[in-house]
Amino acid sequence: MQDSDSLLVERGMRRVPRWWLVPAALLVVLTGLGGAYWAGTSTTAGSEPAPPLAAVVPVSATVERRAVAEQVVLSGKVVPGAQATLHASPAAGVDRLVVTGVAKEAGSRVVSGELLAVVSGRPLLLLPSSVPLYRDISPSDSGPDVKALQEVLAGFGYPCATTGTFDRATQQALASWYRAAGFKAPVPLPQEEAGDAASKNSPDVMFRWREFVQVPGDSGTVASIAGPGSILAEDGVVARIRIADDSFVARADVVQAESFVVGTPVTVRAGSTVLDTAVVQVSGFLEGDQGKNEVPGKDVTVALPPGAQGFAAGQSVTMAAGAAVAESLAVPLIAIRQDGGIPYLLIEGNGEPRRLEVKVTAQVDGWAAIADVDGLVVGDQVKLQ
Amino acid sequence: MSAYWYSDGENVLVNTAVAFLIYDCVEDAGFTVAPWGGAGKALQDYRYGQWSRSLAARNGAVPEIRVIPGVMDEQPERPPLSTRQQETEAKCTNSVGRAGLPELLDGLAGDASLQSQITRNAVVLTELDSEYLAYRKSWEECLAAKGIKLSEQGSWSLQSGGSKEDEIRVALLDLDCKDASGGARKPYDLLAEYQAAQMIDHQAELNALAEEKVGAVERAKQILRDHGVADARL
Repeated sequence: MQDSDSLLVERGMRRVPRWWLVPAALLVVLTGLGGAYWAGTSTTAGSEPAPPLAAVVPVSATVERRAVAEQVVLSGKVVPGAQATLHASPAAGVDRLVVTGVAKEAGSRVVSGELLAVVSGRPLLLLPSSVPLYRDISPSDSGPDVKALQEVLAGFGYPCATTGTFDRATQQALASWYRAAGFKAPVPLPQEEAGDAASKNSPDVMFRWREFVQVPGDSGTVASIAGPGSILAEDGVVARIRIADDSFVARADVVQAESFVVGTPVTVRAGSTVLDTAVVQVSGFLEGDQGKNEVPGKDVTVALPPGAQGFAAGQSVTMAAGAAVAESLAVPLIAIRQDGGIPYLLIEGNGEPRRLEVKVTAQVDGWAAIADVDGLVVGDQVKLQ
Repeated sequence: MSAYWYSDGENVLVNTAVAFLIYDCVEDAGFTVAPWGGAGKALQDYRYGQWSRSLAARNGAVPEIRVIPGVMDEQPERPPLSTRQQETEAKCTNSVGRAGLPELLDGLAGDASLQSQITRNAVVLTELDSEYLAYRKSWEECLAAKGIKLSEQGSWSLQSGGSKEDEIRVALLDLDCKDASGGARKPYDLLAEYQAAQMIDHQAELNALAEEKVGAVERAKQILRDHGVADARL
């Protein structure tokens, strides 16, 4: 117990001296129900001869055959996967952002290198997130962004050496990418031109960062996308890409969490829908939130395979881990009596209850599994304590 | 036994009534008493340690602290008092005392009341009970198998690593062992049976105590009404 907690408990248990009544009226700390003090002092109290115990109404239960499974069950929810929001931004001379074409639709898979949409007549290409997007790149510019772009273009199959300078080969590779998407690469405005354009065989090409968008992880599924003709709002949101699959998440207390290590098979149930899947992540220890009825413990994340039917975002589910056990004789736990550490049952019949020693093989949720034993069958009535 | 102790709410009423009388005394002495009031707190029964898995998962081995609605609204912290006012408050606290309102609280140190005696006897009898002893033995063996040690021999509290995570873990394993030994409430139930058995022998005295309690609570309510507390808060 931590010191502050100990103090709190001791204060709660201690008798309130009279002079304390004034501040106590402010705090009105009740000594209440606690008995830790008693537990410590009462062993020295004088004893009296044991009085007869109060009469107890006999209650019995029926022996059943059932699976007393050693399963740990958590309550969780379907948590939607993370999404990335892709924004278009107006280039110089563009008054407003209008979607003039889309290359993808909701549910489509997107990967880097593909065309996502056309906004105000210009393409939005998916650029790997390894390229830092912070400026337009003109011929002869150099820097880490140029080097990363060259690596990406080469990766796409457009021949291009990693020189770190936006040279002719890089421009041609970029132009090839644009051409594959059905567009011409942008060319520098006269004031952006490096050197004498007229003296070159082909015009320079430049990299305009506003014509690219990036998705964390470089792939995902289109959750939503603005349709052709849509006028984008000021924030320029053109699409939302789901970059992580939906999953099941449940808070486990620290002992429950030991049954949910990564890779553990888990059975998820939502109503009549059942899915066998596995734990993919377990968080570190997290504080609880009493306001949300959330206990301290660990968040267990279980995979929801794409396309699995019957699970909607926010839906409540149960997540069970642990092997199911074959059916056996079973009685309510409170039917199990002990004498010298040996468990036994009292089986009711016509006369006095019959005592039968048993072996308890499992205990879960108030039920005890009993190993088969002569003298005990399904339907027998056993006395409860 | 709860019929013979104040409930948490009744305890708030009685303590607040006593506080009003003390503050009357302070004001009669010429001082101004700053606004006061607020909620109370109560602890769960913890005689035989943690008894609920949900409480253990939330609090570890620390008893649950419940907030008991107060008779008066919560007030900011009282301003510091002058030495003379502190002396007067102490004097008034002594002179008013409990104002004839008995302290009927379970667990008060040194309490020689019949209720306390019954509980003390019941605790001793419970600890001699063979079912209790078997339960305790089974619990200790289960804990030992899990590598958990008692804080001290005979105690219901357990050693833990000190972190909140470990405290909760130990409290949950403690509950598992209690469940495997017959249920976490078993010793509490045994205690209640021994209390009930003794109560039969002292029923007439206990009836008188119950009446005394009812009378004290009614008197406290009247004091509170006289000081402007609305019936809806009583």
